[in-house]
Amino acid sequence: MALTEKIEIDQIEIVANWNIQVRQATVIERDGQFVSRTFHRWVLQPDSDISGQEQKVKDICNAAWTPAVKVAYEAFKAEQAARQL
Amino acid sequence: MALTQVPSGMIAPAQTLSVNGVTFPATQSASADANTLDDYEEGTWTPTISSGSGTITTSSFSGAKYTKIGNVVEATVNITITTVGTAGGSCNFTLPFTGTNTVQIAGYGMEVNTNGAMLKGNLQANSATEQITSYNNTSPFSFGNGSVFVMTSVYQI
Repeated sequence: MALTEKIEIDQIEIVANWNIQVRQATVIERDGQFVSRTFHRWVLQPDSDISGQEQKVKDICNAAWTPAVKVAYEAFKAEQAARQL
Repeated sequence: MALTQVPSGMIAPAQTLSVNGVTFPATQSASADANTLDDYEEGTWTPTISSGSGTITTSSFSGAKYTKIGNVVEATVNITITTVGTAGGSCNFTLPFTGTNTVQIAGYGMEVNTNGAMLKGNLQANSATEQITSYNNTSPFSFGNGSVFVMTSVYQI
């Protein structure tokens, strides 16, 4: 009987211009038969530290976060801060 | 399970599910039909914690779990502010999914280690960052070191 664990980034989505939604799936199999699958998510934004991300995540972040998008994100953050309290 | 055709306008008899429950595809197959439940997912997530102004010296989180049912997400997390530092304004954290293009009061919660204040979480349009403030709009960082914010968020995506 062999148990195997496969962990992979199975979904990367760009939502509302700058939010990069990342999903990691962990799949457990016994002798090649599905046993369980769990998900872990996180969201990256233009001011996120992406140095520890997988290369395919970095590539999408760098493609999505153009200078214009970064400017728009900073404006959004300023507006958000003004509404915080 | 045998299927029986039901004449138009009649209600189908209750159906018994197998022991394995209802399974949705791992990647949502979105439906434009308002009467169709097209997605279910549960998991954990990693929030990024920040402050409206200044910088938090030390913070951490635990119990970050979510369930997505159709276009609604329910997410829970406990945020600990070990050392406030220069942080002020709202306590912000990223959610597992981005909200809709409408401002939502997505979260509610309680500080459970210093003063027991009620908390609320504001989610701006098209944002994945929830902003925690106390019930009377004061900064939660004013509660001091060791504050723990227990938050539950329910919002549309």
